[in-house]
Amino acid sequence: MPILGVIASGISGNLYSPSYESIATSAPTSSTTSITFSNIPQTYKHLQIRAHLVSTSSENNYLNLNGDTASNYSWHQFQATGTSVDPYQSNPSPNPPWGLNSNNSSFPMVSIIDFWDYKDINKVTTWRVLSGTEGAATNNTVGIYGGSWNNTNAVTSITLFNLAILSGSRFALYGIKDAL
Amino acid sequence: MPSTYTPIATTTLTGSQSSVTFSSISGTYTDLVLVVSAAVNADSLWVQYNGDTAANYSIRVGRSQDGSVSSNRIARNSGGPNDRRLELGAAFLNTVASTILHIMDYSNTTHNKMTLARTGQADKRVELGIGCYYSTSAITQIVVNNSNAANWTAGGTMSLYGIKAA
Repeated sequence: MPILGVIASGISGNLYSPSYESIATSAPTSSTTSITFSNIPQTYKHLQIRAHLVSTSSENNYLNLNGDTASNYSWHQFQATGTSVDPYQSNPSPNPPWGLNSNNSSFPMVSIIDFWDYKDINKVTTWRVLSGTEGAATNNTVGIYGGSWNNTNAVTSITLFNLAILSGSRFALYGIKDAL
Repeated sequence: MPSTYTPIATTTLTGSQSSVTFSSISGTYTDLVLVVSAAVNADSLWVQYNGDTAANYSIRVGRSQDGSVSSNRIARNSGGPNDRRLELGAAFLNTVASTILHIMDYSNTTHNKMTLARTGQADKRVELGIGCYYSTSAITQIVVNNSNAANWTAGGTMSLYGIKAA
């Protein structure tokens, strides 16, 4: 987890916090099947996506980087269903997950995805997802997913998929700066 | 550059309070983050929103505790008091535990509210959780308490932050 150095304060109101910046937000006004953050600035150390998915589908909850749809991803996951714990380890595959959604739009899926050292061309990009949804009749889970992209290119775009991303969803991309 | 990650309020515990309330929370942020680093003689930390003490909460957690992994759920209307709050934080025998709660899209008035949790206490367990507050009202108040209603140990902190998307 990046260390933000956020100062706890009893002072309300806005204080300048230059280390964590909002880059872009996508809030679709009609149903779509993907959200893409493209032309990502290469001026940060790490990236974070905070997602609030409103959907009627639990299908195709995966992501890709730089439009890579090949079997260049690996991941582990730890999912808790409320009655069992489901671990999983992938072989090199396409479509790494960013959460497991219910198909009930009244109960959003929320995910926080951290991408570390996304522009470092000396190593592969890794990420962690913390995700969950609760309240619907089926597919309620909370999980943590650790992934890597077998490619040392800098990440310039991130795409999140779901078969029915509805209005009311919000996807926010943040950049975390390096130490001065 | 407008602030993105803003400290809203911090409470340093005095040793004489069992609960802490964050009230009149502005609706101008996108998400809230509550960070608790504190000790209390109880098994868990819990939160309630907007003074709602009815059976409007449910949680689902996965944990590693005492060398074993498990998952459990507290369903809505499962019988009080556990369904009248979100029990999403670890606590244990007056030793410091850490909890981070992400209250996502807290001010929307369309959907039920989701809270993501990561929590841990070194002598007992580490846990991740998801909670649902069955309300389409914006969250304007958070009460933090614990399963024994015990006084939190002096020196602990509870800090609330607002994250603002572009």
